[in-house]
Amino acid sequence: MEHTTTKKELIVFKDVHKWYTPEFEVLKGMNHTFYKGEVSVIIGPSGSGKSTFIRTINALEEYQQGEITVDGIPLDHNLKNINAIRSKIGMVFQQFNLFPHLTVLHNITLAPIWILKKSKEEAENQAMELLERVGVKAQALKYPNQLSGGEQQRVAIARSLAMNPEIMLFDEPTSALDPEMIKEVLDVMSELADNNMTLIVVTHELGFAKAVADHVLFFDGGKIVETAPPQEFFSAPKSDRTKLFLSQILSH
Amino acid sequence: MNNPFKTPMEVKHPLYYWIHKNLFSTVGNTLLTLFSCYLLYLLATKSLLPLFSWDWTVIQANLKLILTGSYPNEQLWRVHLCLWYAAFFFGMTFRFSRKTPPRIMYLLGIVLIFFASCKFETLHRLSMLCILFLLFGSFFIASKLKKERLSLIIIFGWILLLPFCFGVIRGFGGPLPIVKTNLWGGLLLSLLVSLTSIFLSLPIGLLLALGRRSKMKIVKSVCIFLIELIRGVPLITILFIGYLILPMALPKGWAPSVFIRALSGVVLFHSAYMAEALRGGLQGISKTQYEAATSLNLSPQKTMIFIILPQVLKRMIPVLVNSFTSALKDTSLISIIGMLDLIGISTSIVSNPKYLTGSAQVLFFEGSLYFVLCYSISKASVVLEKKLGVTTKIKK
Ligand SMILES: Nc1ncnc2c1ncn2[C@@H]1O[C@H](COP(=O)(O)OP(=O)(O)OP(=O)(O)O)[C@@H](O)[C@H]1O
Ligand SMILES: [Mg+2]
Repeated sequence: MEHTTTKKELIVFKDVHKWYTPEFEVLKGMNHTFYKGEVSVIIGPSGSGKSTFIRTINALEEYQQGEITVDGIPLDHNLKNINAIRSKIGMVFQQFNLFPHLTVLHNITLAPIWILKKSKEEAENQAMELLERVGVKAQALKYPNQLSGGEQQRVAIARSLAMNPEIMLFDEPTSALDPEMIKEVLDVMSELADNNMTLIVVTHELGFAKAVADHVLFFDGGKIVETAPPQEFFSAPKSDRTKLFLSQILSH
Repeated sequence: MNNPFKTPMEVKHPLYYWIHKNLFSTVGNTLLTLFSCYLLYLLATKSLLPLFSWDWTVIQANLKLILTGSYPNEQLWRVHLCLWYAAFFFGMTFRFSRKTPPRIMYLLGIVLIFFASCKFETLHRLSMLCILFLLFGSFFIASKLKKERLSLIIIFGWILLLPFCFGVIRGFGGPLPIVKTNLWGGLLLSLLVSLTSIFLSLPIGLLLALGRRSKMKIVKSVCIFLIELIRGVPLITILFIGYLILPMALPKGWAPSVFIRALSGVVLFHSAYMAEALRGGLQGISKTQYEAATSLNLSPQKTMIFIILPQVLKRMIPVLVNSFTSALKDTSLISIIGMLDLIGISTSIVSNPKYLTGSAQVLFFEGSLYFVLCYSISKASVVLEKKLGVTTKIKK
């Protein structure tokens, strides 16, 4: 594979501020650039604004000040832009959020059929391929609540992938899982990273961060306190806040 | 055959065991059993047996009135046509939910054959056989169709049921001369009004409920105003407003017929209630379902249609059935503004001095009609719930 010297900017945050209420500022001036094909892991204490941050990227949350561009498209009130951006981004949630009234297969084919206007057959073939890729092909005709948490989360990943996104957002994808299921989900995510997909992952799985991430972002109090490659971040954190946080979670 | 949870006695003589355990296990239990037997005896001798000795001529003589009011005799085949239509789609729907004909179909069949052998006019007797034929015929036609095609046909069939019935029963000249609505009556009228209110209150209620959740201030306040206004007034008042005040408020000749006014009153009333029930159902869907749909780039409309509504409607089947049965029974209030529905007709029959002694029979008959209708709705809903797997597939 050829290495390009210039990395392509994909998501650019410029001084982004967000308030939930006029008194309560959640994001206090975010500046960061995510590059194409890189894996960024976001860690930080509870309430530091990690979820809010990643949800602004696909406009699940609005921001009030600053500027976000995704692949050159400004994220603003223009619905066309929002739709264009959302079509590039897939998202996986902590609680899986599968549609309980649809089978696994239909969960995956719904959006490709109605948004990408694929034929039913084409969508189903693609869905089966994706299910095979995430290792839950055998469950295609079951309903979500007949699956284990790990299987549901992998279906949720397949559902997002069916829309051919360039970027995948993960908001604590393994926090609602039993320990033995965490690995199967992380494996799928690593496989995506190996295929050069751009990933932004909020997680407490430091092992995943060390092994897969290109960058680790540390959030605290609505700010990005520190950004570094994982080796540096875990071995020689610069800020005191990071050191404290790491010592707290590593002591467990 | 060694079940550790069963005593040897239970295995050897299950019947004795059951009787002993459930009826005579203690002194109190024995007394209760004897007392219940006495009550059953009273019920049988004082209420049930007399039913068979009652004089049912009042029903026989007025059966046509009770069922269709003053609908012209020579046009009655049009009512039958509607029944055939319904029978056809009932058969298909039964097939949709199971592979073999359900018990209820055989029961219906026996009842139909019984009626066909009674001494009605030939048309009616033939029609009964025709219904029977269509019921089972469509069941087997349906088994030849693909599941998806079948469900489409069924859905359109039921949606078109009311337009079809109204078209055929009212007519529009030519081979189907117009039958004015003031001639409609009895069970026919009750069913038309209540089915219309059931079929229309759902979509109208849905629009009101969605409007009430809308972010647009004007839409929202209009919907709240309508819902609260209609809910705050008894149905009778709405009916009287339509009956007395509307004709005065509108220019002469503009007011629609009493039937239309009564019908729209009933529909509006039930829509308002339906709206609130649906709003409750909509609130039960977690925000995360909207977010998941949005992250897949589904538009709000598509999210509503494919993700939210199917879940809401499934969960709400018991609530919907509740409103449907109450819609069915509340319709009887239109007799107050002089419409000759089931109740209106019965009242006028009973007040005829010729049938002075028949009032109990008429009441009993109309009560049973209502019961059979409501009971079938709730039975059908159980089938629907099982079919849709409401109890098993949606956990949370
Ligand atoms: N819809 C909302 N309205 C008001 N405040 C909110 C809302 N959502 C989140 N917050 C607040 O914003 C802050 C940041 O929330 P956020 O969910 O982004 O934190 P987080 O870093 O993801 O935390 P966790 O690790 O617990 O998920 C918290 O104090 C939270 O209470
Ligand atoms: Mg969070």
